[in-house]
Amino acid sequence: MTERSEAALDRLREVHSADGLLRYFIDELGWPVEDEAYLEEEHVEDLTFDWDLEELGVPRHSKLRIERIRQVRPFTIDQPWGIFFVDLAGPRLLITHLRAVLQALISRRRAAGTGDRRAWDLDDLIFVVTTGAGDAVELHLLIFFDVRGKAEFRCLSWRPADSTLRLRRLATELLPQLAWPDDEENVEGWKETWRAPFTLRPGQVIGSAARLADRMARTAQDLRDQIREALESEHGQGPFSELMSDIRKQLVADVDNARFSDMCAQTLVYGLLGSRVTDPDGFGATPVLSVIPLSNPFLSDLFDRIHGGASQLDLGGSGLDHLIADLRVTNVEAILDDFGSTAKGGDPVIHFYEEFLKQYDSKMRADAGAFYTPEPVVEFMVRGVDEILKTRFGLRTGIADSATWEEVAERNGFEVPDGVNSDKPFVSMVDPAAGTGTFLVHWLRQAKKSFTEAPPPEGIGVSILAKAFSHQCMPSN
Amino acid sequence: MATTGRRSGGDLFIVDNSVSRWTGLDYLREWTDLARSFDVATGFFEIGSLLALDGKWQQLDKIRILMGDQVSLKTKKAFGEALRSRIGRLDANLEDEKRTNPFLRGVDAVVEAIRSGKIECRVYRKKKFHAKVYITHARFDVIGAQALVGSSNFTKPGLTQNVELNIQIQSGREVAQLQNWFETHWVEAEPVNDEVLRVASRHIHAYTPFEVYAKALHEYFRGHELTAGEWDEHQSRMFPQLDRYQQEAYWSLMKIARRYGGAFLCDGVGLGKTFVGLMLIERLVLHENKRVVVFAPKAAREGVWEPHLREWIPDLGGVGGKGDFSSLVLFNHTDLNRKGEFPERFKNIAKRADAVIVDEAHHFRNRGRQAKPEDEEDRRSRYWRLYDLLDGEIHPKLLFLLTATPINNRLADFRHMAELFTRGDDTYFARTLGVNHFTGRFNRLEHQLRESLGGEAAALQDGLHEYAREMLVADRIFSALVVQRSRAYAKASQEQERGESASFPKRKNPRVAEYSIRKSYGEALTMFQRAFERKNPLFTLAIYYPLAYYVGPDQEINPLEENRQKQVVGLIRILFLKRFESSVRAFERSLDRLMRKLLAFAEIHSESPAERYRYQRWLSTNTDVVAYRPSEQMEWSFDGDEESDDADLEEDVIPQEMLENVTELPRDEYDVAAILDEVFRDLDQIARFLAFARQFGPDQDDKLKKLIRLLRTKEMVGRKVLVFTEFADTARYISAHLTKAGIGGLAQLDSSSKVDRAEIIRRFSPYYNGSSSADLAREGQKEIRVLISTDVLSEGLNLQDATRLINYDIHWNPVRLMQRIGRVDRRMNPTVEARLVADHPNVSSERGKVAYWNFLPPNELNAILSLYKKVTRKTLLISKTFGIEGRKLLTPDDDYDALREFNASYEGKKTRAEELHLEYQKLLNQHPGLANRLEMMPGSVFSGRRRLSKGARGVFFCFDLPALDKERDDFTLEAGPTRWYLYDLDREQIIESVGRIVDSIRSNPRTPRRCITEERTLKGIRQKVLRHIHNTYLKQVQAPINAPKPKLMCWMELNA
Repeated sequence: MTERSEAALDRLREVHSADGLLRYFIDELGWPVEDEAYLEEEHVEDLTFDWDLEELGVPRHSKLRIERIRQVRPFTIDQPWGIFFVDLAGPRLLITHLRAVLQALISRRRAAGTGDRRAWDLDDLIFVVTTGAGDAVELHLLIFFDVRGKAEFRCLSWRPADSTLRLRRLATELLPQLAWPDDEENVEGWKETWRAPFTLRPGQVIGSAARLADRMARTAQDLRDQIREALESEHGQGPFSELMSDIRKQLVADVDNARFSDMCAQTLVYGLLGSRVTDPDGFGATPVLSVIPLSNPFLSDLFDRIHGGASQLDLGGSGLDHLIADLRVTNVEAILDDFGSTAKGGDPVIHFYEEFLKQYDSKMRADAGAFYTPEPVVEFMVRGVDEILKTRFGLRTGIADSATWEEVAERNGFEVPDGVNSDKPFVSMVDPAAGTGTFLVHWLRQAKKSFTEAPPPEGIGVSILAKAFSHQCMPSN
Repeated sequence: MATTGRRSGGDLFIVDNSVSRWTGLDYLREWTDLARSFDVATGFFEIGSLLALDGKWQQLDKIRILMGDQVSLKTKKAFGEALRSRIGRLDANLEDEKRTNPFLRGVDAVVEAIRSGKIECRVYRKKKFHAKVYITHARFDVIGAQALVGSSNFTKPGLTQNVELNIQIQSGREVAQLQNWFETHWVEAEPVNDEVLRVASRHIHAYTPFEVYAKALHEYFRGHELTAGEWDEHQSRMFPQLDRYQQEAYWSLMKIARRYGGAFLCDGVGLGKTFVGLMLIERLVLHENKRVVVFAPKAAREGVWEPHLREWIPDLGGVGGKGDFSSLVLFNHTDLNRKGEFPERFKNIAKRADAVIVDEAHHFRNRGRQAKPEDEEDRRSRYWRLYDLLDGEIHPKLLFLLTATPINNRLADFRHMAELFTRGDDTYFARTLGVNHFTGRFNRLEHQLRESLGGEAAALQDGLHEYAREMLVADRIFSALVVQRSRAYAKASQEQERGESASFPKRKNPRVAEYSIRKSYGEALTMFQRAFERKNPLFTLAIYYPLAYYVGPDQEINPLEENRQKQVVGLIRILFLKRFESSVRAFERSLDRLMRKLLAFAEIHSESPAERYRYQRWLSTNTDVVAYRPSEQMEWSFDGDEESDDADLEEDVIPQEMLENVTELPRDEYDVAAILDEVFRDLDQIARFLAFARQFGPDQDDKLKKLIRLLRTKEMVGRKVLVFTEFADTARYISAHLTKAGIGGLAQLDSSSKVDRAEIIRRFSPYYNGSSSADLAREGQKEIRVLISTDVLSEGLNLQDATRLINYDIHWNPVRLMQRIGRVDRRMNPTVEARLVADHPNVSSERGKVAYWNFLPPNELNAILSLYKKVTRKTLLISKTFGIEGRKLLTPDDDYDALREFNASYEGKKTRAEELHLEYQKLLNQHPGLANRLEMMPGSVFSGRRRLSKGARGVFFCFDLPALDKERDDFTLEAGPTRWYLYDLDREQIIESVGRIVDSIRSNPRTPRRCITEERTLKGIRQKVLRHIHNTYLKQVQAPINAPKPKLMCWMELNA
């Protein structure tokens, strides 16, 4: 680490705003400002032009989320880039809002509008988006691609408080590529250099379980917010509203907009992981949505609606396709294996949900009671029940026993309680928050063990399943 | 304290504005508390250094400033230059200081100190002088004198920002040595106190409101007011011939063309555009050694350009005469389409021409066909051939476009012409005018225009609506590229400059030549009217509107195409109406042509035996009509080598091939049977009309008889008379019969006349075309007295020999009427007038007076107009008394209004900018030396006054703004506009309209200066306006960070 790059790192850590980042570019990357007066506090406004949301024709619902749009004044007359600062309200980078801005800024062949506004080619635009505020501020540097007529973006995002490793990489490897070129004439070369740091995505290899959970959680968060907005903008009339009303009728009566968006987002994102593991070869070969398994009627319904084109959900900007691209090149199996073996044991896809949820929304995890119960505890609890059943109730095969209430009552000398069907099995298991199903798994394991130790006269399979119920409201399971 | 030499001997005391944490300024500031005087030697001196020490330096008794230069200043000239550069730097520094210190607080004290001798400045001139020393003499001997020696200039950056290296000399002995050094040089240096004083006091002078007002005007018209150059004044032959407004046009055009590559001169008819063109040619060819190409209509080239060039600039060459070497070549517009050696010649011209002048440039308003030149047969339009010739990639060229009608019926007309030099680059004006999409902007304007005109949208077809004119004048691109002055402005400018506008003739009120259509046509008029009462007036014309009979599979018929067909049909009907009114011969020709077209269609499409039978039967019943071929049958189309001015009217909408070719319509797509039914219905109608027309004799023609009578009146006999008709058929018809009637000196001209048009023009109007009656007689040429012409003559020609003009048709289009009148009502030339009157004393009384007659059938006028309305759904209001269009209905009382409106429209209204310009011109005339004084004024000149009674309360600003200078490829203030801003304190808004602002700031030399607003408030407002400029203008032109900042030229508070 040279002194200079160390200094750059320190400077970057101090950058908490778009203006700060511009100053960083000027000081560290040689963006040319001849008149030093511009760098004085009172003239800093002269470095940017204000753009009016009205003048850009940004729709009303986006106006609430966009606090301010400014353009960095060109530095030189031949500069191809249009560099914009967009301050978003709230903590999330919501591409739908940026899209409206983008539409107004890009040049079209048949120009609409007044001709008074400058317009840019899509790939000449750079956005510096800030989300969150104070210490939680997050900076996003975005560039755009035209993919079959649709604008897609790549971004570098960071928080000043991010780990030193990450910031160092930004300060020493990525951002320096945005240095002002010596040869402005070579526009093609310039564009290539400046866009280079962004090509790390998509298709970036994810190296650890924590990173994977983080990536998935961020994607799900964005998706959730977008679905919620789409839902709200439907005002009760539209595909999402219909889907929600179906869910209310058939699954969860009191689901509200927030919960609904959340269900959809989690389902989509976690469904991706499942799909990646079950069909690694076919994954991502087809359009976004078809990678997700459709065995679940809820999922299939959701996808039908989105695929039908009736929805306003803009999956292109949701980051789902980035995630797919990343998952394709990532050795998900290795990560999950590693995760499973070091942390918890059992099926890592199942356990990983806890990890995902922790990143995704820890408050919700607590609300829903979706905490992982350590396996030894589960094991202890299951074995305890099994033991009690065997010793106190005289059930030979413990929890695997298929004796009815009537038989057990008779054997132990107590009355079958009111309201209990005396023909039903005495032992049944309910896990009202099955979560990752850990209890169920251990229950079945113990049942199998007790059963093999003392084999009953008739087969067991059907009877055990008949007695085990689990219930989970989080539909991602 | 640095000053007391607290450091022990041997330690260097460093002042470097950086790592030592000592700036030169801090150092000197501390010394001001202790010192009685400073002796400063410096390369540069800027007052900013003293201002930074304001409140401190005043404690000193004396400051001596010794400046020098890095070059030796031994010669007087070198010294003068150096002094100027020193002073210039001082000046620039003060200018700069105003950005943060607009009222130059502190400068008055410096000025006072120089005046009192407390501050003394000298410039060392013996040798290069690069020394820097600051000797500070303490008030108390215990401290003594010390010195700082090193690199810092006595400027603010030298004392605060730059990385410098100065060290303090503390030892008394060493300081004394330095003092000696200083004194030696001081004595040898030359005092410049006066120069410094002059510069500084200029900036802090209390300017009057009038000075600020005049300065604002001066800046606003900066572009227009290029003063005449040495060459203009002393060597040019054209320049002295030009009126002031023409000189302005010439300067503006040069400036516009240099900035944008192209410029338009769009003055109204008869304002002498050609003279401005000649001026351009003279300058470009003779002064700038450029190669110039002129494209003009054949008639104008032969009749105007060539004779004028020979007359005024005989040594220029290129047009015969006395000049041998020439860098000038002239072509006809139509040469662009010619074959033979022409394509090769134009290729060479594209490589070598430096400037191209296109006269009557509106002939290039339609782009037409753009095929590839490599195609087997080059079918590109005239426009695209010119476009290729102008390719700046091959060789850069300036383009000058001369036309009185930059817009004919669409704003795109102008855009197409401009695209000849913008080369279709829609971002061409992005950084110069802040228009980021040229086509987009014009489409939007067009849209707005149609919206706001609503039902009147069609009115644009007959010339530019007043509203459209205003819209364009306000448009940034239009106003930047176009020099367009109203006749009213030209006259007013002349009056102001010469005290009279003698060179424009007086126009008498028009008179009506009455005739009766019914007397001529008799029952045929009723037949004609009845034909218009049908659902499809006159004719169905189904073959021109086949989409109405579409039965094919395509569900969606292209609405554009359908609309176009509808328009074509409407235009054909109007054409019949006009020709019917014009003359029976014109009507007959059209009937005949349409009949043959319909027959051709019927022949191709009659397939079944029944259909064939019907066709044959029609032919046999109408043998007479079909067999008769009018003797002087004219082609519908026009020879490619001829000017097709007549066709302009239709060529916009009706493509030639549509009229010429009969395309076969497939029966599975069109209801051909129904179309055929309509065709025969039309044919029957035509046959009836033709049968009548063929037996119609001239003795029945009331209109013709009226013309003959009119030409025999006292007012006409022996006078030059110009008779206009829209149709060549009519022109030939009346010409033939006037000859029979014995009207002498007659000639007739239309687009297909195989005559030398220039020759005809010269014979008709010899004096204004470089000849005379005597010359003609000598050459054996017969002078023409009565010239009958179509509108081929209505542009660009000098026919001022005539003072009588007759419009033989009802005028349907006021623009045409104005063009016709403009042939004779044009700028007169005193020399020519003198020659003419000398040869023809009998006409002297009527020179300078133009009279014109409009033919009108008062009894049938309403009927004719209602037929017109039936087809176009537009109301045309023609005055019975004057024969010109008025806006109100036809009552006798309104006739005066009709004339007034016509005259107003003809003269044009002075725009606010024109009025302002006249006002400014007047100021300059009234106050000799004012222009020079304004030029010498510093920036940010400030004044204040009580607000005008109807003016706003607020602060006025005049800013120079940067724009892209295409030549220097950088933003400069010179390339940018001057804009006015008025911050209205009551409404708290910024006004930009010059028209509104001027009424709030107009001042005269006696207006008292009155400044009562707090400086802090003024600074705050200035900041707001700067912010406003930043987010409007600078954003629009995307001014880079390193572009020059807006420069405040002057400002003024308008207080209550």
